Amino acid sequence: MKKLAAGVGGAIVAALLGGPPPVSAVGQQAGFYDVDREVKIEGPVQDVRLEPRFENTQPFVVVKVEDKATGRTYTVEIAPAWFFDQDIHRGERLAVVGSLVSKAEASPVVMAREVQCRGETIRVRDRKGFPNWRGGAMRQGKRKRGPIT
Amino acid sequence: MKPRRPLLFFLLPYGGVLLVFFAVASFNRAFIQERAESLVKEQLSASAEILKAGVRDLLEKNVPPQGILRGYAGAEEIYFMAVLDERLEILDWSSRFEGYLPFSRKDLPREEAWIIDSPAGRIYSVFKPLRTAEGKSYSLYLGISLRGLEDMLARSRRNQGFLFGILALAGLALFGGVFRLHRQSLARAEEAVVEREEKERLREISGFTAGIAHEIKNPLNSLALLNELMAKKAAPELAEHLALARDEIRKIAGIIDAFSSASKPLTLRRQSVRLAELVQGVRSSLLADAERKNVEILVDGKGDVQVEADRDLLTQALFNVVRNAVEATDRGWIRIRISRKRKGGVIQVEDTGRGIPDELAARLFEPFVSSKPQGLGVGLYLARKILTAHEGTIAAAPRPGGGAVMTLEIPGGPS
Repeated sequence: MKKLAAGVGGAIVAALLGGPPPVSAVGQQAGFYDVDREVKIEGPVQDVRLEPRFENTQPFVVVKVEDKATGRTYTVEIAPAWFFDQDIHRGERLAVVGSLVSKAEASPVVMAREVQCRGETIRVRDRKGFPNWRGGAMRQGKRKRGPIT
Repeated sequence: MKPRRPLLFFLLPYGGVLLVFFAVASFNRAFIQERAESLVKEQLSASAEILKAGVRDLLEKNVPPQGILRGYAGAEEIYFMAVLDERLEILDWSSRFEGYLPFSRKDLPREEAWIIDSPAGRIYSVFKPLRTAEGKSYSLYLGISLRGLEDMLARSRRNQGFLFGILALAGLALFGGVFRLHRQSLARAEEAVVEREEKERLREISGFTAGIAHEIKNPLNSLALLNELMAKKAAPELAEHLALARDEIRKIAGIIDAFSSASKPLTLRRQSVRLAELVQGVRSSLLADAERKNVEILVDGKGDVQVEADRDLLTQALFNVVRNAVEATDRGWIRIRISRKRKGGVIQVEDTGRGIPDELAARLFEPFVSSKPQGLGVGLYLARKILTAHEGTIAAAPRPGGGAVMTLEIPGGPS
């Protein structure tokens, strides 16, 4: 028992103090999913792109959505393209629940948790922002019909 | 003990022992789990303190807070970390999972560490305020994986389940064996009782028939002598009647002899017996009877099979069996086949006769059981008695296509 605890603690200490140099961590060019800043937007898609968002990961599906309530255009980071296999087109209506990671006036950025498209709701993260493509989908189910929550 | 009792006597107590084992093992595992978690948390807390000291050192060396965690991001166990300013705004952060930083200002600041359940497993989370020498306040937010501990606990659960399963299976196998042995011994005891009763019944019958035979034999001898005397002195026209009377007296004597043989204990005089010779002898004795019915007696098989047996008794047993076959066969053939089985010999008598009636099949070798209206039911009984005395067996089976097959197994060939 003590051995295990010492092992866990020791590995961390070794990594922090004298261990090998850390591998490239997840970058900060993208924000984190801030549960305190959840928003819901809904409107037509204006643009669809594939853009790198995190280091050492596949490109993300990134869309621009004009929120019909506020008239503002949001950049929505959805999920890696291999995970999010929906075919989204310009002009299509999209509803998104996500976290506002950047309040930049020109183009605020939303990190999506749930995306509703053609009546289907696709969960890409859990409520605390854990990405479903990293195992979360196994537990929670990826898709459902009905309103987003 | 009745067959159901072993369930009560063995399985219930064993089930109780298993339950106690399971309960004790579960309590023990829960205790170890609690202690292990506590120790791991202490270690993680110490690691967090070291990390905090490192971050403070960097801040005091005027390393800008943004990007300060880049050098700490390599540890596998650290799922996420963040440096916050005094207003709880994130200055720098990193995470093993894209964008995952389970953080809410509503929950902070927290003095005690807490556990977050995530799809990647449980995460030990801790929030550590720190103050630099210049008096600036920061906080360090850490999430460290408890996967190692969880793996150990899962292994412990698996091991316990495996051990429990092995114990349950071993116990069931053991008590299944005990239960089977018990049933077998019960069956043997019942068989022994039936056998003892049968022996007792046969002993009584033997005594009774021996007594009758003895009582009948003396007057029968006198009658035979008287008949002979009369045959010498009687008028010639009575000769035929007296010959018939003589034959009937002989028949009665034969019946009495058969009863006497059946009831007498057997004493074996073993010698080396070549089965082919024995079979040929029996065939010769019954050939005339068979030919009268147009029944052929065939012999085949190994000619060199020898056994250690009482020649006369074995001849009598085979004679009885083959005679039965001749009597039961109205046309066709009887085949006597000799073969070797391990050190002993086997004689099979196959006939194309009427076969064995179903109602007699189970009692064929019992005394006084016969399918023939005038049969005494002694022949096959005597054959079995002789074979049993030789530690051999005799069995009857229907022959496919009609008739019967009698198999005599005689163990113990010459060494």
